[in-house]
Amino acid sequence: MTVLLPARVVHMTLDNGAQALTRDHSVARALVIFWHDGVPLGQKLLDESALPLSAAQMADVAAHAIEAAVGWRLFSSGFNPPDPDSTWKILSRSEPAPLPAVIATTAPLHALQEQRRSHRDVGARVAVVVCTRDRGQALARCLRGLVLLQPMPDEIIVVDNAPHDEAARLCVEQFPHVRYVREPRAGLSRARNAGVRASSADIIAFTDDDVEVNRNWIAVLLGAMRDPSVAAVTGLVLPASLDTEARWIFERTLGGFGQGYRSIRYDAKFFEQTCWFGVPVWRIGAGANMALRRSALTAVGGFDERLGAGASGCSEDSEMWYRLLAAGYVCLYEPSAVVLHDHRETMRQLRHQMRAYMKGHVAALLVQWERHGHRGNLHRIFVSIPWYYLRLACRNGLRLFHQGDPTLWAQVRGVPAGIWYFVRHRATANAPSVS
Amino acid sequence: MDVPDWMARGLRGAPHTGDAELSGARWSVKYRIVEVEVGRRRIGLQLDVEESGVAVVMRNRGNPVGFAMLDLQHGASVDAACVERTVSLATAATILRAALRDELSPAAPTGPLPSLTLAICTKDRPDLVARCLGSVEQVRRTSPHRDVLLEVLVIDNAPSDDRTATLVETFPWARRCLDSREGLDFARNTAWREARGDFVAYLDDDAVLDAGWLDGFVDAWRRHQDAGAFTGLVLPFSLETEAQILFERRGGFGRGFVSQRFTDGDLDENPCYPTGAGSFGAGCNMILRRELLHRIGGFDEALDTGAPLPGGGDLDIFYRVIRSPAPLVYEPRLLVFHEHRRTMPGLRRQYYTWGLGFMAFVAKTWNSDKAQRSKLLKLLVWWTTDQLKAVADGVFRRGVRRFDHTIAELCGGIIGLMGTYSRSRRRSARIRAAHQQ
Repeated sequence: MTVLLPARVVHMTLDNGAQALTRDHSVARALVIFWHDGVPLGQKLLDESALPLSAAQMADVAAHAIEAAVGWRLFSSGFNPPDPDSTWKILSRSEPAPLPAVIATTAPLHALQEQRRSHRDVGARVAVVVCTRDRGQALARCLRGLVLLQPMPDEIIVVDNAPHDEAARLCVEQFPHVRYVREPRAGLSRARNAGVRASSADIIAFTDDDVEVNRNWIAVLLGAMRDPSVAAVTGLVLPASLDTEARWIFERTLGGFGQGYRSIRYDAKFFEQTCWFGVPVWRIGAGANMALRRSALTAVGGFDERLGAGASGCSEDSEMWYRLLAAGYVCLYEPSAVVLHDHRETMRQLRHQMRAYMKGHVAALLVQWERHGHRGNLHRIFVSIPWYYLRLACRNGLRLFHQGDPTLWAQVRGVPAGIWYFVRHRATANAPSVS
Repeated sequence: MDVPDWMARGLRGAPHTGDAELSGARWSVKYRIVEVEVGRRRIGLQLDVEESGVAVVMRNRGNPVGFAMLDLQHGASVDAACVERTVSLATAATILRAALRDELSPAAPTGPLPSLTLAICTKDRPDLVARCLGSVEQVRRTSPHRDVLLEVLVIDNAPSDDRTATLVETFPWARRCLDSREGLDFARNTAWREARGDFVAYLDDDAVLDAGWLDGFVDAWRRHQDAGAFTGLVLPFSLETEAQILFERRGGFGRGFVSQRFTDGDLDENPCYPTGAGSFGAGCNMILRRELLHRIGGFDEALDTGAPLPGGGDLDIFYRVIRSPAPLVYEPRLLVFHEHRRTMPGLRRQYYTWGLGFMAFVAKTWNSDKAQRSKLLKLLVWWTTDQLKAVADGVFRRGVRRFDHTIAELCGGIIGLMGTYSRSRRRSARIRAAHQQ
């Protein structure tokens, strides 16, 4: 028996109705992502044994997968996502939907398209900053996507972070619209700050070299920024492929980067309510798909140079959102801004990444505690995280219902590493000015 | 089994008033069942003094879209706004989903429709059969697809008198078949052997068809022409006793308002799948492809044939359809109303037979389908954990499952593990042999 690949990613456009899906005998599952008019509305994981499905059968599946997102976009109430702080409140009290309006909507997707057509204007200047390090091939693919963006951003800046070769520079030279900036000191935060300094735009969108952006990515980010209180926008990060065990585990067992198909507003209320146990800022989004307003960056300072890949490991993005929320700004998760991310290919890389994530996460919590004095961050490190891993270890030990998480030990090792990292770098750099 | 989400939402929307001053007067519990068409203007409700709650069946242009139970005081009144809130919470997503499905579906294929035999298996309950046949008559009169319904069989199972035979004679379009071997699965097997339709629909005598049932079948069949079986929604026919209300509170036979297609394989979110056959539907409302029944040898006559094993036949047939392998489709428009057990001892006995039937099914499948043993083991662990949780809930009077009901189910399960299935097999073989002579 041949070994099946874990899953394939199928993008299904619903513009002309649902489509039939045939069975692929080389994979075990299909993750079907439903799109309509360039907007992702939902996903459904199908076992290949449930395929083939005819168009009519797929219509059933699709309708169930997208109803929440469509209802949320069309109606003011009734389809609201749970409050971001619902972890503790279990159920968010949502007002019922306006029933007469729901009954009157006979073609919901068409109505959605009309609603979107009514506002489509873009004003502010925008720059895209891509930070890269020794990944020439991936960068070329990323840039090929960026130059196809509609509308084109005003600037595209590639920050080459402490490179070992000239691959990135040579790659950028092939794209006339793209500027090349070199940041000799290693660290993603430093690279991001260098990118901000090199640009002159009002809004700076960040992405990584291992992603592929959707064509309307910038348009959606700018649309979300129309609200002047919004300082940061994040978007949906979908897996580019799930063809290896490591990618599959990252997406399903570890939750991936996706945060759902309905947008979520994180504001001061969210910050206040969750402060006592550590504001779950990591749920806001991912640094591979975010945009920041320059005025807010000037006010709160740039990325903390102790954090991020190449330094602590990660979480320079979530620490930035933490600072913005603490200063009273609003962060918005808008799932129509889509990028496809290449997850780590091998288990070895994944373990390494998960350790770095936990190390960076713990370091960021300590940095937040140091900067703001909020004890909730310590609560998370010394109560929530140990409790979480204890439970996970018990469940992993049983191995009956839950597929074990093979990266568990790597994650656990990241915790003391993060604390130690923070202790060693306590006195060093803080968030530098970016103006 | 949890209370379905839609029902919990209905309950949360209700003004739960408790039973403070009227507690002494709680001589009975009885719910009124009302039908609400979602597009119409809502009006308030005034309960009679013997009614202690209301169950709302919600429809959109005749299609069932929601169900909710409100627990109230005797003789309470519910204003229109509360009804509206309940209806909206329970149905908005379902109505939107239906609209999306219509928008996304390709034009419905027009081709020849299959023929359907409706079989009602009964024993000595002519009043119920009369009610059941009355609902069939309504479907035959009003449905645009009435031609699909080829024939109606009443399987008279080991009758002690000729009342059922006399009754069926008053319905010229119904045919009575006698099966003298006592037991439901004997009768079910007689039904498909006598049937001429492409599909055989099984309906219990204590259920009635909804007027849109046949149209629901045609619609489901058009989407799933490869399906081996269809199951449908079951809502309460009456909620007049505590036993009926308790049973429905626990979820009853309801499987929600989302249509689903089940196929053989694995599911990431359910490691027992497809052995947890209870989630596929209920035996009081199922339609099976006759040719498939023939191929897999019909119903297991050791199950669902009275003592010692009066349950589990539906679990077994659903599971074998899936494993045959053929898709099984759950369609909420395929709606019947079922009259639950009226008395508490009857309900307790029902839970006992559930436990027994479930374990007999597990024991049988353990030997007949060895490839699925690891899943069956997980199913056993899940079932035991679920029952123990329910016992704890019963002790602390949390949740909707009563202590004695859980104990009955647990006892049934334990007895079911102790060789009941093989005993029942020998017994059914004896009955078959006796009747062949």
